[in-house]
Amino acid sequence: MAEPVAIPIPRPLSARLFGFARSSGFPWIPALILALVVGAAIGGEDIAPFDPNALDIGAAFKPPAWLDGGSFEHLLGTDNLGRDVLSRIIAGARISLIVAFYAIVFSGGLGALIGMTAGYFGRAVDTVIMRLVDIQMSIPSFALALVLATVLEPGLHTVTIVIVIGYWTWYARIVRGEILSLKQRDYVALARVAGCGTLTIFRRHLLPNILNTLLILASLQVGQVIIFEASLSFLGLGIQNPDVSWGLMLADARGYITNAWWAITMPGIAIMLTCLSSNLLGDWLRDSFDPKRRQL
Amino acid sequence: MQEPPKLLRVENLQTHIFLRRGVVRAVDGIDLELAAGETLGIIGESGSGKTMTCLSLLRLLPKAGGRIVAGRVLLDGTDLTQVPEAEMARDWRGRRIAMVSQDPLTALNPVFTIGDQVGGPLRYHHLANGRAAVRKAVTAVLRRVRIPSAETRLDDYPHQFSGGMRQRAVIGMAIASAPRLLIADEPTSNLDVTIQVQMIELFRDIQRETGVGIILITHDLGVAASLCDRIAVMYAGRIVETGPVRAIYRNPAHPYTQALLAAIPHLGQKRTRLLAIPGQPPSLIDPPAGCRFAARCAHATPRCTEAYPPDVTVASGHVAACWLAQAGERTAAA
Amino acid sequence: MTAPLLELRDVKKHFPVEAGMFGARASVRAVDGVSLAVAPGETFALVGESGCGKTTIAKLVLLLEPLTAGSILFDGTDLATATAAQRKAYRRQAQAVFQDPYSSLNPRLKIGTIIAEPILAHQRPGRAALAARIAELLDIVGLPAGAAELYPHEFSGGQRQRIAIARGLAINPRFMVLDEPISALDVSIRAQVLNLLADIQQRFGLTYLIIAHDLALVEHFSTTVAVMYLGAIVETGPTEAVFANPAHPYTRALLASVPRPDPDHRPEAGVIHGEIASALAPPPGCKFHPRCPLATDRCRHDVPAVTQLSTGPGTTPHWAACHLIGT
Repeated sequence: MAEPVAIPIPRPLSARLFGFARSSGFPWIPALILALVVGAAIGGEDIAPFDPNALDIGAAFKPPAWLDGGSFEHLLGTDNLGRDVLSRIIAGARISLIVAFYAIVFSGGLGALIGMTAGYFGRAVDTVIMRLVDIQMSIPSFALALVLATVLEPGLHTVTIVIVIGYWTWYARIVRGEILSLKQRDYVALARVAGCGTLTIFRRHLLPNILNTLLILASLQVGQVIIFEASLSFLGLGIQNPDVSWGLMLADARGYITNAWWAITMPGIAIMLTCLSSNLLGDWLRDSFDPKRRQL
Repeated sequence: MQEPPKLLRVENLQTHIFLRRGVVRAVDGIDLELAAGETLGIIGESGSGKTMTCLSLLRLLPKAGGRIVAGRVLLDGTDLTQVPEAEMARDWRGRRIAMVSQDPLTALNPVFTIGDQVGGPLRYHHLANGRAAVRKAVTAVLRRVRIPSAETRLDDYPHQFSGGMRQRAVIGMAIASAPRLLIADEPTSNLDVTIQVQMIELFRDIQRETGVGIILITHDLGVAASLCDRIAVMYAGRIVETGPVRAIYRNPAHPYTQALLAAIPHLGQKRTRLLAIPGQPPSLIDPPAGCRFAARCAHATPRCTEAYPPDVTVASGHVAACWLAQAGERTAAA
Repeated sequence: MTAPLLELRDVKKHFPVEAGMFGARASVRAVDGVSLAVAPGETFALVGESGCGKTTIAKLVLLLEPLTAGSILFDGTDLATATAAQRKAYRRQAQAVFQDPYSSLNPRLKIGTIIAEPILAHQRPGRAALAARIAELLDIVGLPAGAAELYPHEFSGGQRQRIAIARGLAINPRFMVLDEPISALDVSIRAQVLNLLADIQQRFGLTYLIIAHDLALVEHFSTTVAVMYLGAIVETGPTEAVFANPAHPYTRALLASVPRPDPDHRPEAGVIHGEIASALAPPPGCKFHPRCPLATDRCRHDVPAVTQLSTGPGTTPHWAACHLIGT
């Protein structure tokens, strides 16, 4: 009864991925920028030319290397306390990425879990959960952040908690929508017919299919989280000295913009580039995961 | 006796689709003829090129990829492949050639009334001027497609119509401008069988009343038999058999046609086993040199894979592209 | 007659429809009192047009939707009152193949995982045993063993449907629900899959409940048929009997409307007029009366009772619900 059926020989996964990346407009420059940021975060103070907290009042307000009075010693200049801006940016990358990572993992995980529960079980469970989401979302996230940050001690943990509380609803909403549509697929019904339990269906059918969405959401959120953290630190509610964060650098340099514009601009550019790169990468991910284009 | 000139003549039409992974020769040299008041059925499966043929006749190919690369499409003597796009839209599409497609739900815009949409072609082609005249014309069209209470229903929205009524409205849109040629691409596939039979009647009545030429594209051999005067069977971008409807169904000459007829259950003829056609249709990016059906044909000979078979006249008006088809005979039936 | 494998007794399924916050709650009566019995080894076909409820019955039989009323018995066990263990045992014995080969397979899973899913839900086989079973199933449906490592998008519609059949067979069920198994496939591929279904039925002694709208297919493939209209069965009996002597006007209209691949046969349009009524507000009396060319006054008011038509002893009864039988 078996008739000859031609089955295509699959190319190795690496070849497929690389060919796919090449052919679909992979954003190389944003990826490079993000790679640099990650590299800086990993290297941290070890690769920074100076100790980010080393004071050197004599070298205060040195401009960046390409301006008059600057030197290659302090590539991006120094701030009001003589601290090397470049070193502080490198050190700040670590904090920013750590906050982004934990915030996204926890808010994404929590939000996805809640969203999946609401979407899959529907009816009463769904209604209750979504009303909670609505209530949460109607509270201005920044006001909430301020309250929480004053109640808790300012620092890395506070920032992370505040972001998680602010952002999980976003994930929950989107994941719930995905689950609602995935639920209708025949293969989910057939899994039930096969005898699979709810947990198995979640694990095998629902979770992998929303992983794409979560990945895209996460990459789009990196920029948002960094800015959020920077804003909190700027207001003095987030990272405190001697920890370095880009937001803190903005806050510190606010008072002397006219004297040393580079001290506030450089971290600002770092924030902007990171945010932009992650957005572009997220856009590309979203476009390439569109099943109509999937030819892997 | 001089034969009246054909309404439509398609000569060696070739439409290619240009994809990243290659050039798909979707329509690879087909010839068709249609007289006024006649219905030609194009029978084929998915991937045979029948929908591309239909889009080529209307010059509605996707701009990004598809193009007519060769051939002529002569409607009332004018070669439509040479007509500039502006003229095509103004004088031909929706005016002299119209199309009805498979899904009435997506053919109708949900935010406009049926009257608005059926009146669209009339207004665009200046066949009726002024609201009152358009309304009157639209009511007449809806009556012609047998929509009851046409005068009031033209103010309804598509969601207020049932599936069968929507398809009638879409047919109304198509015939509103009294076209010379109507192309119907699987017009009844989504309909229930009791509605389908009404639709078949409707097509026949419209043809009788207006003398429009109809090209019916379908995979349903039953529907084709009920409506068509002549049939063209398409496979892998080419036409493998053409002929009068009775000849095709009683005396199919091409093994693909024979296999199709043997592969479907026929009501009233209980058979123990249907003929399963093994394999798959060939890739259209790199079609085989010889007969494209040879890989799946029970009667294939070495000659079949070497060279593409010529058109063999099996009987008057009945042509098959098969090395094994001889005039007056037929190949051993499955 | 042997005891039926699957039995439906006066099964009802109503879907509530919101009619405003304070409006009366309307219901779509998708299935409105259906009783049928499927004997072991037979192929029972449910036919009807859109909205008749046949797909809903498939979902009810597969426990994908809860019943509103009535009971479904499998091998004598009432599924509604069954314990969780009994329901799991039922899942071992009843599998399904659905219409759409593209949404029946999870595009992110390998074929091997897809086919193994029913097995893994009920057993814990070792890796080697599982791989052997998957290879065996692929061979039964005519696909090479290497297919287990590939993903669904590398297969055509017909091949995907074979994979779905392999999955259905994985745990040796006794009963399969086939919901329009070939209507989404190309004509030249349909016979392949249909012949495969017939072969495995013989080989493994399966009982089929097939949902279809193609009457020619039903005549070819089934032993018993039930014609549905607006949630109720209007006629049922052995396929040969029903097709040879259709008693209900709707069955007759359906058969007359089917176009045949025969240019000299014209399907009759005048046998039935109008459109299917809404299941929200079905007509009183006989639900078919607005479209029936033979409707009498009685049809408009009284729901017709079941009239048995004569068939041989020991065979499935042939009955229809119409006032006009025998007149």
